[in-house]
Amino acid sequence: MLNILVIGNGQCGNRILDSINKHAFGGKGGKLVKFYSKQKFNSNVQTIAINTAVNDLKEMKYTRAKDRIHIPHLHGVGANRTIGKQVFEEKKEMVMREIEGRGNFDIAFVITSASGGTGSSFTPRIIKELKERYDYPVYAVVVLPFREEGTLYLQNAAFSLREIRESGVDGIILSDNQYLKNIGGSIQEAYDGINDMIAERILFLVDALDSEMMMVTDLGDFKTVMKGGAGLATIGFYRAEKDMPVKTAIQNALSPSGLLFSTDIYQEASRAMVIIKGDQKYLSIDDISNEIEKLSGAVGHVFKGIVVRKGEGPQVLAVLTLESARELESLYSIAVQAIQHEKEKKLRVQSGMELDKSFSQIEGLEPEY
Amino acid sequence: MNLKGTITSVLCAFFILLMLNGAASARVEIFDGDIEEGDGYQINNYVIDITDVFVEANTASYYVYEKNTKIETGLLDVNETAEFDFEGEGKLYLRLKSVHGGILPRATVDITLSNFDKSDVYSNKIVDGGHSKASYGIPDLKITKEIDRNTLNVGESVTVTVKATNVGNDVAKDVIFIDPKQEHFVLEATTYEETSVDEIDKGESFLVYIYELKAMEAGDFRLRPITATYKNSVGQSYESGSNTPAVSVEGAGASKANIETAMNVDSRVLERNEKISTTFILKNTGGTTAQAVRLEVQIPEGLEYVSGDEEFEVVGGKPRVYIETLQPGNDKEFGCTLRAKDMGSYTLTGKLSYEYQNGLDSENIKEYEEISVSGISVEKGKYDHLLELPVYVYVIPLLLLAGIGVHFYRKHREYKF
Ligand SMILES: Nc1nc2c(ncn2[C@@H]2O[C@H](COP(=O)(O)OP(=O)(O)OP(=O)(O)O)[C@@H](O)[C@H]2O)c(=O)[nH]1
Ligand SMILES: [Mg+2]
Repeated sequence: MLNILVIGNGQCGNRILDSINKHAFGGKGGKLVKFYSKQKFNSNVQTIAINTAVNDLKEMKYTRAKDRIHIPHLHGVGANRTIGKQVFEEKKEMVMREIEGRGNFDIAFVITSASGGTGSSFTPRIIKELKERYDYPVYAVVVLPFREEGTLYLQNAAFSLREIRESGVDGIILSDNQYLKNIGGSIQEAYDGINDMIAERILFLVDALDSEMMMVTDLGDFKTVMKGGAGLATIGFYRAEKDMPVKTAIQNALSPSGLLFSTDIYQEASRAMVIIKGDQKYLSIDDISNEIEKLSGAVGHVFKGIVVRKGEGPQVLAVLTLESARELESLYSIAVQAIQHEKEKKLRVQSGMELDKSFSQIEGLEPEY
Repeated sequence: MNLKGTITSVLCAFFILLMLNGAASARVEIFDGDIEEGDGYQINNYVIDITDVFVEANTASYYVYEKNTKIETGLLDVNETAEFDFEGEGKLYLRLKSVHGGILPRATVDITLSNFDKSDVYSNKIVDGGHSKASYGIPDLKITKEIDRNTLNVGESVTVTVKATNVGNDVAKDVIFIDPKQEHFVLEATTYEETSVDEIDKGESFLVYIYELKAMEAGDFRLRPITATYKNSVGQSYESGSNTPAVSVEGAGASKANIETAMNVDSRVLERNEKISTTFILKNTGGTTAQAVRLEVQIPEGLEYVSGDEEFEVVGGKPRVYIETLQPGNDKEFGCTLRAKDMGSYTLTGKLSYEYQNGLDSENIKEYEEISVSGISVEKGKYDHLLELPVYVYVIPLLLLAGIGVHFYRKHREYKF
């Protein structure tokens, strides 16, 4: 049995974590599910939600109170990463003690948005501390902002991604709100939809890593895949609603609609792991091998694993590490413009102060006619 | 056919040939007159400087420049002609007709041009001081500031698009645009910004800005002109400014959130233990979003809270609803159920508070309001006589319920943050 640690930082991280806990109760079921049902984890999964904003923690419904850690700082940090870093440095031992108390782990995931204040500044530092204190692999799950959310968020995203990469993290799994925004509905519904997508994928992954698999894929393989490429990865997933050939399910998981981040996997992927789950009757080894071969033609080695679950339709999860990410480059170039723009705004404000100086010259004078 | 006829037709043919040929290489007169020593003559980007006049020798020396670059120098005798290339195919001819002495020696020259359309000559004049004083093509940036609407309300935004087109006859170089801060508005978002560029060619257009300004005050305003500084191809500086579009901002109550409330109960007279449903309707009839909307229900002694829509949370025994935002024109309805505990007459009160931004102040404006329904009266219940039954009738189901209750309470505590 694997020991798995999942940390959700900031509002976005908290919500995704809550969605993971919700799905762990077995998918459907209202808010009351926690009163009559038990979470169905194969592994020993510990979840910790960390935030400076107490309201974000209060909003959570499926995560135990003792797993919600409030780092007191009035009203969150308001998307200000500098304050976020300060607060973390002050309260570092408090955070790390909480983690320490949960024992040792085989793998950890840290979930955050890249663009807020709290999550994006806490995450790189927590990862750095984890890597220094323990020797299990740590993966970041990073949510990129809607591009129209404004310059501040874009800047934050650019800087925090770099810091996360430099934190010693073993891999970054990208998810892009912008890319997933066509889920539609209100912003809240879009968030919920995206959070559910991410939660479902993470749960599927940890469930598979701790299951009896054919063609054996395990935690070791996952680590190997995540080591590939530029340290960036994303996840594709598909769950067939009804009878569907496994071939189609694999194709769907690898198609743009299955991915969390905009990439052409045949161009940008460098290593892959594909896990297929379902009833025996769907799992035609020939079809699976054929389909995987197509992928390995473009990507190179593909690890594959098969989990047999009686009565379940075909489900496919693909972990893909990327050697390049065009979409990320374009985000950075927008972010650079944003930073420039903020700078100029500051300058403009300063030149406004110059004006004050000019005004002060006539202090105490009267016009002469 | 006689000889005279033959000669006439040959001559005719000869003249036609001459004319055709002449059309191709016809020379056009540019200048016939005096140029003083040290001055020059400019044709477009070319300047012919008469550098020295030697009266005794009947000669004059000249330098030819194409935009500050020397391309030719020479010495001409009177009646001699020099020729040089002009803007590609063209040829420029300089003939020295005579030289004159005096305090300011001068040369009389004849300048002609062939293989060039005279209408393409845009600059054609004597330059005092020679080529170093010449000005060449003049770039001219026509800057337009366009807005997508002329009237708006306080708090609304107008999109400004700034473009520059070079309508001059030289390239504009090292172009820098400066957009002054706009009073009465704040910069809300910048979609596009390119405030400097190395070159804008003749006839070319350049997109400078697309941004949104949010109106902060009512009134009629003109947006400030954006200015540009730039240089022509030889580094001379120019400046131009844009138009100043007029915007009229209307202020009528656009930036106020106003939540109207209604509170209803399904009956006012009830028996003990009976339930009563209460509904609250909140509607934002203002012009801006209400934030942090909080409704706290104050339950009187003789009534108790049983359940409510999922928006309700019970804090310190008081049910309340919190909604982050209520958009203008939107309404929300919540219901909860209460139970009558004790006989009496009661008043149910809802305390509403919310905030909004009025678009002018940086602080949110806070509003409070109270609504109540009074005269809810509780009378003796139909089943009150059951209370007189033997104890065990209650005890067994109560124990069962208590067990379930304890489980729920534990779970609740486990998840209650
Ligand atoms: N997918 C998804 N994105 C979210 C969610 N909530 C916020 N975001 C995104 O996260 C970014 C904002 O970061 P938050 O996580 O709210 O910020 P925070 O870490 O709580 O930091 P502060 O509030 O500034 O202290 C924006 O880009 C949002 O679009 C969510 O529930 N799901
Ligand atoms: Mg927050």
